[in-house]
Amino acid sequence: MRISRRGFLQGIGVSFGGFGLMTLGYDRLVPYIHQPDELVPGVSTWYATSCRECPAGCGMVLRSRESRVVKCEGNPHHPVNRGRLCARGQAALHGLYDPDRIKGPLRRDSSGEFTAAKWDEAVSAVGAELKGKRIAFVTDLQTGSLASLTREWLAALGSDRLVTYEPIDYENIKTAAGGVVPSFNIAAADHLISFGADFLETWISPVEYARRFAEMRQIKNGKRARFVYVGPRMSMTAANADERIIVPPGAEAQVAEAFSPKWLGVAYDPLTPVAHKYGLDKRSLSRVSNEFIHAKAPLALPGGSAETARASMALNAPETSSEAKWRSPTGLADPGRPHAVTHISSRSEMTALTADMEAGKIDALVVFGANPVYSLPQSAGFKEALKHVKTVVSLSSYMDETTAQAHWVLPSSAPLETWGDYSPYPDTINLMQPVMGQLFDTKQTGDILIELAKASGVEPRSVFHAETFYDYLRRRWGIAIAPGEAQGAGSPEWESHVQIGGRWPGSGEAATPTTGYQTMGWSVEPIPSAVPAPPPTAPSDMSDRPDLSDISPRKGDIKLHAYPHIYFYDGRGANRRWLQEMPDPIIHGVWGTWAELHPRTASKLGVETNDLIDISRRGAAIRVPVYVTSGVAPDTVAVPIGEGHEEYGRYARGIGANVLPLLDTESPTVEITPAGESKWLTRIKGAISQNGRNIVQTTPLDKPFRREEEIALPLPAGYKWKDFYPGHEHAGHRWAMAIDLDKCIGCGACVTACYAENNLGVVGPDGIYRKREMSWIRIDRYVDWKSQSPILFQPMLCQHCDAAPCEPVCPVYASAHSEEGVNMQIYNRCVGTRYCANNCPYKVRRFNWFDYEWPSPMHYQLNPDVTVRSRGVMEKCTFCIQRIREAEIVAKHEGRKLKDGDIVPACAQTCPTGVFAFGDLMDPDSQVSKAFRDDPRAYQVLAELNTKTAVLYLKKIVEGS
Amino acid sequence: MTQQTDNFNRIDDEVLASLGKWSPGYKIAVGVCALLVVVGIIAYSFQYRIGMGVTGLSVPISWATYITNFVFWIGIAHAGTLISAILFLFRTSWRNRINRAAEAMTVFAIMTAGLFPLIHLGRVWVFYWILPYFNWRHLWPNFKSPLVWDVIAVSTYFTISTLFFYLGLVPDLATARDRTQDGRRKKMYTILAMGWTGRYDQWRHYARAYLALAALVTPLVISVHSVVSWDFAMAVVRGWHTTIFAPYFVAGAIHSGLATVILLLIPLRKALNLERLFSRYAIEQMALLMIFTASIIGYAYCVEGFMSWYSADKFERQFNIFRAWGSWNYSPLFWAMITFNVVVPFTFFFKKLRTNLKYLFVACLLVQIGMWLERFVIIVVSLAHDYLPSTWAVYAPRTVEILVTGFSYGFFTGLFLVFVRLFPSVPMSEAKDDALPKEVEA
Repeated sequence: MRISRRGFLQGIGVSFGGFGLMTLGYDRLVPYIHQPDELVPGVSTWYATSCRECPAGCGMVLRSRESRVVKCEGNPHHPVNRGRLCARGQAALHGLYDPDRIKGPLRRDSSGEFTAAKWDEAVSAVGAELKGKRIAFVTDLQTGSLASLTREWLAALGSDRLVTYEPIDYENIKTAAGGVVPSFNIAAADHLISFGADFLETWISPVEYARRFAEMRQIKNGKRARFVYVGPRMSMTAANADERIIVPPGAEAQVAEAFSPKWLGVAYDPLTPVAHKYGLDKRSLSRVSNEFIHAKAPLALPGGSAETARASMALNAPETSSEAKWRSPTGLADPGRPHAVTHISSRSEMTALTADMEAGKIDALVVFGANPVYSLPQSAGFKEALKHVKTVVSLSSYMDETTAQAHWVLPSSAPLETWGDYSPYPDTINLMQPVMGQLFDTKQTGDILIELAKASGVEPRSVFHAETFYDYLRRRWGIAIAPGEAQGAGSPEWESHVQIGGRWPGSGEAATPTTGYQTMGWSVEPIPSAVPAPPPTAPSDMSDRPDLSDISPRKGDIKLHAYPHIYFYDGRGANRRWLQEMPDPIIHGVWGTWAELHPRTASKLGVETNDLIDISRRGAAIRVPVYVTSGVAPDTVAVPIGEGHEEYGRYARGIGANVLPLLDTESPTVEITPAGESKWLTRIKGAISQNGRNIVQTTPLDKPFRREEEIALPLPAGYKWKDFYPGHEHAGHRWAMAIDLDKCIGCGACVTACYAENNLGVVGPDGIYRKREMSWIRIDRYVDWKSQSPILFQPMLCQHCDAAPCEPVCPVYASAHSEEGVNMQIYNRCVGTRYCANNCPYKVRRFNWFDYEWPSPMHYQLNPDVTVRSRGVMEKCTFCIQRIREAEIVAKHEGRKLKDGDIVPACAQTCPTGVFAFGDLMDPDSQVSKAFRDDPRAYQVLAELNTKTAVLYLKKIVEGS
Repeated sequence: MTQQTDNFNRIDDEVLASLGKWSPGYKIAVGVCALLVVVGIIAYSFQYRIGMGVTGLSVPISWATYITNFVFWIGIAHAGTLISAILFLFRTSWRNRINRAAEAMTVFAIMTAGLFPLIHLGRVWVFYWILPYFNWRHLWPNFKSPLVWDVIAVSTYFTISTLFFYLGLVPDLATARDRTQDGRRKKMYTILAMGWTGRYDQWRHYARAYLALAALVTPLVISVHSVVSWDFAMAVVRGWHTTIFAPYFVAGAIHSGLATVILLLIPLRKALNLERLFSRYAIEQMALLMIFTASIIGYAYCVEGFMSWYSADKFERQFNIFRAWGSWNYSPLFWAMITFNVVVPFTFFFKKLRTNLKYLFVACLLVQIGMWLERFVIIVVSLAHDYLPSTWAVYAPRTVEILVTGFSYGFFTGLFLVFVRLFPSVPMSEAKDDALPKEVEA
């Protein structure tokens, strides 16, 4: 073939043109044509709202970048959480970006399948179906405007059947405390006993209580408040106690009774039978009892069964014994400031509703937020009763088990996309605002209700005095709504509420009280006058006197203790994959459900860890792997609530087992039969014993704290005779961290925060099995049942060693030391030899075994300041270098030097108890400098390796030696 | 004089006869090797495409089968040079007929070994960043990293031993060129013989060069495996961080190399009808050498145990106890390693056993397994029980790793099988040198 010069040039031209066209398929960066106001690319905007992941009602601020929310943080002004969040709060983003969210209205067609519908036709069809019918409304706990709108809506449609349904209903406390759930002032207590209340994990308001707990545990004059846990299992809360009394579920009541001061001066020792019956040490029991009774400000937290709650609440307001002169009530349990969970309907209401549904007395059921098909016991028959309801409308955002039974699905927007308010306490009202545009074809719940009302012939303006939920909300907040006023416009006071995230005592000068606010007489929803009577389901075999007759199970009977999972709560967190990947603090289980059995019970049943057992009760049964642990009472099986979803989404479906159908009463007796097979219980691998390596160090409370080893400073000054190479010179800063092990409760909020901040991949159960979790920070836990503190937690992250073992071994300098002391990993230089990971004694380096995926729209959550790593490269903690840079830039703009506290890494930011201190070691006044220099509890992990870690640990303070 | 020529002719005849037709059994053997290679390449492509996650590696154990294979093959590569260079310098005459086979084994073993660092790399497409090459950003590799030392040591060793191997081959290529009838082969030998005529000055240059290269390659035998051992010894990992590693690894390398030579020669002398040239005597000598290397290894095992006790270091002590008794996954491997590497070669003290070729074959096979296990135990078990108990884990190889390991055996054996049918596998010139009457030599 001969090619002419012309032909050659033509060919070149065509192929270059072809290459040019090929690039069309690629993503491009396109600048704004009209840049929105207040939106600067690369600069974050923060929006205040309320966390709705559980009834605690923490204040939240969300970081928005280029109109996409990328991070949740606690609202620093908010009185409940003071800027902190738990793991579930951090994972609220996965509720928003859940790839399995319902993307538009659905209707069930004749074949029984869901088909997409249009909003207007769906609303008019449902509105017509609701008109004049007997309607019932089941919702999760809502307070404020949405609750009031729901009630008005129901009234307008001629119904008052509103059931506020929560599986974890605190009815035990309400019964015991006169119909309300009081607030507990833990911080002021000097002796705390929790009777089965896991207040650091799931109980009422965990972030708040964790913070209060840390306050309480501060050492004052060489002493600190004692904390004793009485309960059926070594929960994370129990692990943080000075002493634990492990008794079968339900028996906490007897311990609480026996601790009562009413026995003072009575010639009867109630402790003896209790100690005898549960095999407890009588002497330590009476010591605890004595200490508690004679404490200045004792506080008992009511958890467990109704009877336990009653007995423990009685300890907070003891009957004055005629003989013993005793202190006045402490007022630490304050019923005058009830928590929002007070508004949860009683169980009998749900029972009644189910009965009415069964009897055909309900024509239409509207469900929002609640998931009773999943969470009610099988014997309640809710799912069957649902078949008798002609129209079931779900307003859920997710295809949960209840929604899957609906005839119509009118999906609500996620809480982060909606306006609203929520009031955890009467004096605290959180304001919620949409933090970004709607992701899918969904509507705000309030707006759906208003439109449905309109479709069934109700005039919204006359009933609700508003056309939209936004207007309704603002009216309730005392903002005048002029007719025809443009939506979005607002008065300055409204904007200040929105900005600060609500109002509460001292919510700032910015939020000036408005007259409307007061004239509306709005504190919270009035507490329903009809305080629910003790539910019929509550065990009633208890008299006022301590019933010391045998209520413990008969020989061979095993009691089921189902506890809310720290990360899934009642199951609503199960489709958040960050939470699925979070190891449970005690068992380190992930992606599944397990059954904790005492070694004695396990050997009686002939099972070992990983053996499958069938737990059954009255026709309901689950099959779960066993975990044998001394941390659970004998003859008790403890199973976490939250997994075992049949619907809900790709991360929840088919994982683990759902224990709730078995729970027709509190801690029921169950039958256990070994299934004869084994399945590895998915948990983080690793040994549970420290093997005498002294990695988590402790120091006794009653001895003066003393530094045993010299701290090898991660500065040139730290290089002495042991070193071959001289130290690094640092340019201005040397970043370092101090971790107070005494404050760490093991909750794992830092871990989830790190996942959110640093775009960490999620590896799934198979990845966990292969030990490939990607967490840059993890909570190591070590177990020693012989010790006074059997479970020790230790946040473990890159130690940013000054003499880092990972650095010299990298052949390409991908692991290098920055001039500010940070041990850097340069992703695009890494070739993937993994030598650094081998040589890291702390094993904090993570390798990208695959390209990890973020199914749409999860990729919206990716932090644009942090590279998404590709397969084949190593990664690890960066001390949140992007936050360091941001703070430096801000300081530079403001023409000042960085000051201590300007930089807060994501883990430190969210920690409910303030474990982490981060700062500059070259600033002699910084908190970390002081810790390195002076703190007597300071030590470095694996100091014998002379790595000169920049992460300093402060020893945990324990009782005894 | 006539007798002598006869002898020379006989050597030529016997050796060149081995380059003849491939028997069906031989073809099947080569075919199996080719199959292993193809399957291994497919498995590796899968790993390349999906990611390192298809292996059984994890974060505490991020080196395992691949690095074990690397060290194993590098170890095998040592015997060849030992036989051809060190024993040459020591004027050990029995090495003269087997050194070609041993050298070929060396070159192929390095080629196989050299693939593994690449196979194990997370981002193999940028492997050249480890090489020190000029670039406008002045980015150099980190010369503190033992991996860079490795690259330099292994590539040097490969270059020198290939040259050494080729140089020794040249006179024989000329003989093959002169005596072969096949046209294509003749062409190939002509090119490769580079005009060798056997003139006096050529022989003189040849002898000088051979001696110089032998002298050059001898320290490399020591250095390469020392450097490979420093991959481990320079790290802080318990079980790796030991000063004894360099001599221990060199001895181990020679140990496994000798076993491989014996393992290859025993079937080869039958298949190629070279039983006279690959003498039982040479094989027996190698077996005796293995007793020596086995004692060094056994000593190293003892020293490791002693040092862990004597150091009073709790990590070291716990690790050694764990390795020997701690786990059903790993402890049997440890004891198998000691049995195969030390106890089995010590049976060579008995002349009856070491002269029994069948026994020798089986014993050397066990030594091979033992030496592979030794590297596996060092690499994997040390990583499995690191400093923080919270990170302890267990490793098992997965399909891709097993297939890629299979590839390495197919690749190595296949190359060797093809080589001995294409090129004289006995150094004819040296064998003739051997056949010279002593007076002539004197």
